[in-house]
Amino acid sequence: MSYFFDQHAIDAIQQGRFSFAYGISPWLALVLALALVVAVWALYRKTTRTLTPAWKTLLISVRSAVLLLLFFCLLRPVVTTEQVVPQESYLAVVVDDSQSMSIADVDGGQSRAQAVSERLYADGGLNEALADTFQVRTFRFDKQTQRVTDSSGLLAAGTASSIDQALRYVDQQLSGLALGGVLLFSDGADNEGVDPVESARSFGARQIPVFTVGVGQEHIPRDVGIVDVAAARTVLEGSVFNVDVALSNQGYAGSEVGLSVYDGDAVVATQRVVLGPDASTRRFTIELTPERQEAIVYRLAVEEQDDEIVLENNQYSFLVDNSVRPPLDILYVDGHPRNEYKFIRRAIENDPTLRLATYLQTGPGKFYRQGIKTPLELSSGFPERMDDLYQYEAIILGDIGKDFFTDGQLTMLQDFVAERGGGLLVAGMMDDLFVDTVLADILPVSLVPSSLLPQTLRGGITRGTHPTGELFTPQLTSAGEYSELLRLSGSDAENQRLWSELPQLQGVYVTGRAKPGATVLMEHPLLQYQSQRLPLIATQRYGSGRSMSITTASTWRWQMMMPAEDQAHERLWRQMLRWLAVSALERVTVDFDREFYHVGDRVNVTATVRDTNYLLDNNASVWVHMSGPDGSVIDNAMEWDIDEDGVYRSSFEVNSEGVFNLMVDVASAAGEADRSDTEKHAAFVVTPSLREFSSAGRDTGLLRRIAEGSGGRYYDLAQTGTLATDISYTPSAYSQEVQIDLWDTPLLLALLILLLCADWILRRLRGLS
Amino acid sequence: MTARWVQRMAPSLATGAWLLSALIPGNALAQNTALPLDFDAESFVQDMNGADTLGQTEFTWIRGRYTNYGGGRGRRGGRFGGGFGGRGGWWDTDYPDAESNFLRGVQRYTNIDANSKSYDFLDLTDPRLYEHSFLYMNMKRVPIGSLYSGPDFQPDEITALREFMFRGGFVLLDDFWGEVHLEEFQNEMAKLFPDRELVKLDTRHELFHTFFDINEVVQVPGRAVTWDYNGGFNLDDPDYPPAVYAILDDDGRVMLVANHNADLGDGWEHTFYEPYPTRYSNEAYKITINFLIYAFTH
Repeated sequence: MSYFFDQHAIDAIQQGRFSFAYGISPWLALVLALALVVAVWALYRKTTRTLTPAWKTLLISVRSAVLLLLFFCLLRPVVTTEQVVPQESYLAVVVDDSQSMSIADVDGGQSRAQAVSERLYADGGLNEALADTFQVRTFRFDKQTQRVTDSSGLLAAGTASSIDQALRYVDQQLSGLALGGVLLFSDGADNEGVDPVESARSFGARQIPVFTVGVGQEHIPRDVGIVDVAAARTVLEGSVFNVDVALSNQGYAGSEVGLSVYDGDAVVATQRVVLGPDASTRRFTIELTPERQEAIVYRLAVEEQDDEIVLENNQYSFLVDNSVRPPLDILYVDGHPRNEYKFIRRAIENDPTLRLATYLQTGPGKFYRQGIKTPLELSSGFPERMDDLYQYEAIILGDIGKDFFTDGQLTMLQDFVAERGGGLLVAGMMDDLFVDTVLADILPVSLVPSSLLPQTLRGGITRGTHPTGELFTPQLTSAGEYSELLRLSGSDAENQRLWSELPQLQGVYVTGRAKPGATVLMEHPLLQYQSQRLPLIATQRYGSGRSMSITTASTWRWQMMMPAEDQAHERLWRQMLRWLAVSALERVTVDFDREFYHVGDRVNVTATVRDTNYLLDNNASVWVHMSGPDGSVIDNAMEWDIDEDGVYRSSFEVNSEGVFNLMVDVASAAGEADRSDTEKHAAFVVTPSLREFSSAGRDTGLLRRIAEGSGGRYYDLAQTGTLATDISYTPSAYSQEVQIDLWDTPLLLALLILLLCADWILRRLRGLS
Repeated sequence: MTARWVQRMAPSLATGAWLLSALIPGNALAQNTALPLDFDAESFVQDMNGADTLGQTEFTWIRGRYTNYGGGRGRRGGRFGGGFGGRGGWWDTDYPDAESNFLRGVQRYTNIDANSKSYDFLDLTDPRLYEHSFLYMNMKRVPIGSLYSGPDFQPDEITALREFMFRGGFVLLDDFWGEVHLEEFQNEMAKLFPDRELVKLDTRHELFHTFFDINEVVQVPGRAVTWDYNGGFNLDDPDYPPAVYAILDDDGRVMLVANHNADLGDGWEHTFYEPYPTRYSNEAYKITINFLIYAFTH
């Protein structure tokens, strides 16, 4: 019993749960109290010594107070409160045992895990106090939860923390028992992405309060850590790619540190960077050149600093898949030899990610094929069979008339975009005869017959004879300025400068207005049709695919009129054509449920399969073949997910670090052997986990919300002195109502002694007996 | 002047056209679709008189005007001298009749947007050169072995030519004969590209198959073979074996091609000149159309 009223007694009094055990009528109590005061007053009417009225009043008051206090105690005052019945209910003690608990940021240089262990299991520790009242069941958790009996089960080695999972596990294990509460020790650094407050509320709804104890510091005082690394998972163009690194820092503001990227043991890139202010995260970019064509695991390391507390987050491994993959196939048909054709071909020629198969009409009835894979490709002209057309991801139509196509081919072109998800670019003249065809539907610009155009917009692209043939400086729209298709540099200022250096274009084909759903990226600076500037480059979605129109045939000037070493023309065309082709549906796509995995994780692989018409295929046999870094091989049949069309799943556990290569092979019901598009290669990496060390500061907010959501309370580890008592008095499903006497409180006895002493001293001072 | 020449030659034109039409489609296009060849003197004269104008078409044939050995860029017979042995330039040999005839052929046979007037000439150092991607130059030195005519590329011309080709331009050189001219040509090429090899192409190269399938490089003779005053040349003279030289870019594409022991310009110019053997005109057209198509596709 404490010397003064306990907090729970004060709470009870404040909440009006105070009463007298001998419940006499309040009126009678009042009368008796008054009678006491009157009796004292009567006895003081005559005194042995004469007293001034003031002294007399003082003496009457003190004596009355003594008697009233005794009278109060005789009435036996009590508060009614709730308390668990000793040993009749259970308490779950749940201890965070993940790697972040090994961080030594507790006063005295202790690790978080050591501090918790000491508080719980040292002599006179919390465990003993709790065991007086509860049947204690202790659990450790990281991404999984297990029962432990003492501190020897706590290793601080888990590679992830999931408080939610721990609460659910405890709930399951102790359901059916009289669970009176949960006591959670953690740094709150939860990294499983599931908010545990919901589970806490579920406990609260069943009157099981969750008490949380926070350990560690909210900001680790001295740490430089890699928070995030973003690199292209697959390297698309050229050999150089950027790695974006986010570095957090506490205690080393403004310091210069070295960042290095390793491929195995070899350093492949280094950079000195200056850290931001304390508690900030700054992003840096490192350029990398992959040196071999396969999946490469890079290790990024930031230099260790003096007195740094957490060293584990100074390294980060990531996978970049630089393995050879087939280029995107683009079919380009053009009606006559011209500069635009020549320079589009040249722009793409050295890009290994794109293959341009071209079919050029060089003369009446004469065609010239380039970039073909086999002697048969395009040998009979524009494809007439869906299979032949669908082998391409995008199609470019140059200056070509409608009579080049049959109606069937045009319809197939529509399906190619809408269903196969291919891209269609019309770059050049638009034959009036296309106005009533599907092409008018697919394109982002409306097609207006030239006879309906105003006179100023008729006249063709010949220079010097008509406004539509003149030189002009193309204007990027705001969408165009920031579009991935037309960027010449990542920096806005540099991008604008490079664009301003490009030569003028010449000649514009007038087609009509941009459609409402289209995105205009570039427009003519002067010429307008129906109060809208003539679109020069416009794009739009069409079904599953994309369409695009370029209404000038002079982009080659960006090549011939710029220094030979300038790459703007090449870059723009590669970007535009890659954009056009890259979103085309694939026969087989492979996805993983996570970016990377750690040893012991379960890898869930999903394959989405389409048939030859690019419709989702539920009748395929899908096999996954996986080879691990340790030489292990797994061959599994993937199972169709009945809830999702065309989706097949498989999963397996990974038990070693390194790169896992995977091949998904599809044999459809139609049976197509030897088709490369029915095989899909993919890779993932299993790395040492660092997430426990990034953002590993104590998350007090989360722990507080868990406690408050369930009717419990939050404590700092250093302030857990009253924890055991507090838990026993907190209302729960298994606490019962008890009445606590207040008359025997030492405070009241002390007050009584004080009043009696005062009475005696005052009487002696006035010479009374 | 050109039109007057055509009128003078009108009687021969019909015969020439007939010969041309008889020869080209038969063999050359055997593997391709037969083409109508309907040159006729009437429409030709009409074109020459002004139906076609420069600037109406997407393609313009550009002839390069270079610095002569004699100095300056003047035309032969101009103020810098003239005639054989003089200090005149020969860059404009056969100009513009050769262009006009040939472009008419381009217009008829191919889908290249051209007409009989879509030609022009530019100094090599003229920045407008880069508004085009095809350049023709006549390398004539007269007489053979002369050091007083023919191109003497100056540093600024060399810079411009190199840049033109590196950006993607295609250069066709024509009309130089014999060992002495070949050496001079090699010297000029060494000035242009000291670090690039001059390769001799055989007919397996793509250049010979872009439009017509050409399986033999023919010695297209100069007019001297048939000219009234007999220049001393014989047809298919074994002392002058025809060859096609090329300079390749870093990706193996031909960026400059040169016809040694051939005079394509005369082949085009004398299309309708009766004494000039039509077969050689045809060969001149065929190989040049192939060059043009190659230039537009590589």
